[in-house]
Amino acid sequence: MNLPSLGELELAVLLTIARLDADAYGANVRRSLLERTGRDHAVGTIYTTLERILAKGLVVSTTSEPIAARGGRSRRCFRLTNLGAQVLRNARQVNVALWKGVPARVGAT
Amino acid sequence: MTSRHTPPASAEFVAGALMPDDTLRDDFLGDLAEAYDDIASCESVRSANRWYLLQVGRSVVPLSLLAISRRGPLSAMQFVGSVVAGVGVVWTIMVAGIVGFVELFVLINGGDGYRGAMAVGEYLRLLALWSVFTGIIAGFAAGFVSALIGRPSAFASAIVLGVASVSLVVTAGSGSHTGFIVFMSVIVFSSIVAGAWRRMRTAALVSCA
Repeated sequence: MNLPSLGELELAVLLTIARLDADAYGANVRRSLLERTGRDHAVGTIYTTLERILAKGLVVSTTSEPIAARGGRSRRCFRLTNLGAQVLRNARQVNVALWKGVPARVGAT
Repeated sequence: MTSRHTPPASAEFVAGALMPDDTLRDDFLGDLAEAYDDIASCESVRSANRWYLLQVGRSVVPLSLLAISRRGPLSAMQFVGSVVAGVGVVWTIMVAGIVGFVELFVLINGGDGYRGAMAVGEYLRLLALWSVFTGIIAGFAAGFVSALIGRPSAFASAIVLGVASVSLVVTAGSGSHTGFIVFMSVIVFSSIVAGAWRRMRTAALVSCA
């Protein structure tokens, strides 16, 4: 089975969703990416990426009840699907395979 | 008790009007409001305001592209159609306005045009003023028409329309930088108004149903 390909930001967002688990929603994903990678992505960019991985079937979304802290608006939370988890595992394997044989001076352990 | 910081209503209004997709709007505004509160609490309200406006500006292009890609080929055709219609409105109003002005002047001055009653400089100043006025009307009308047709993203339609119109004027070899900025601003402002109006209309229809 051919797994969907992932861009750099898609991979980062997917990993963030996996880590945040039940708290994976737009603002939190953006905040978490900023903390971990130091890159301040626009909220719109995060949404575009979330929509792309949603369309690829790597995540599913659920809408919460309205929340006062968000001005009475609901929150859309994302959860990894089995396919999403498989794609992450595959990305990790590819990454490990690519790092094999890279000299220690480059940073390989 | 902790007080919550909320974004300025005007900024939220603009953010909502610029959002291309109804289903994403609430989510987007909610996320922005939540982050705004964080920044206002940790830093200052001024920083939060700056951040909010910057986020809105940076999000327009990716969200517009997302809206267009989500709705398929029909949406792309609507988008192109909205820009073509907008350019048509601009040029119809501009040409009709300026030709009308010259004709009216000739009519008033008994066929002699500006030579009859007015110095050349004065006539040209009046014509320039009239052009600016016509340009504003044309920009507003075109932005509104384009935003109403360009369903996927009123804002994106307005931006492309503005760029297309300015490019046509530049290739025709006339206009000034200030004029272009004013023209673009009018088109964008008009698209915001049209977007907000369309959203209110949709909300009214939904509440009726």
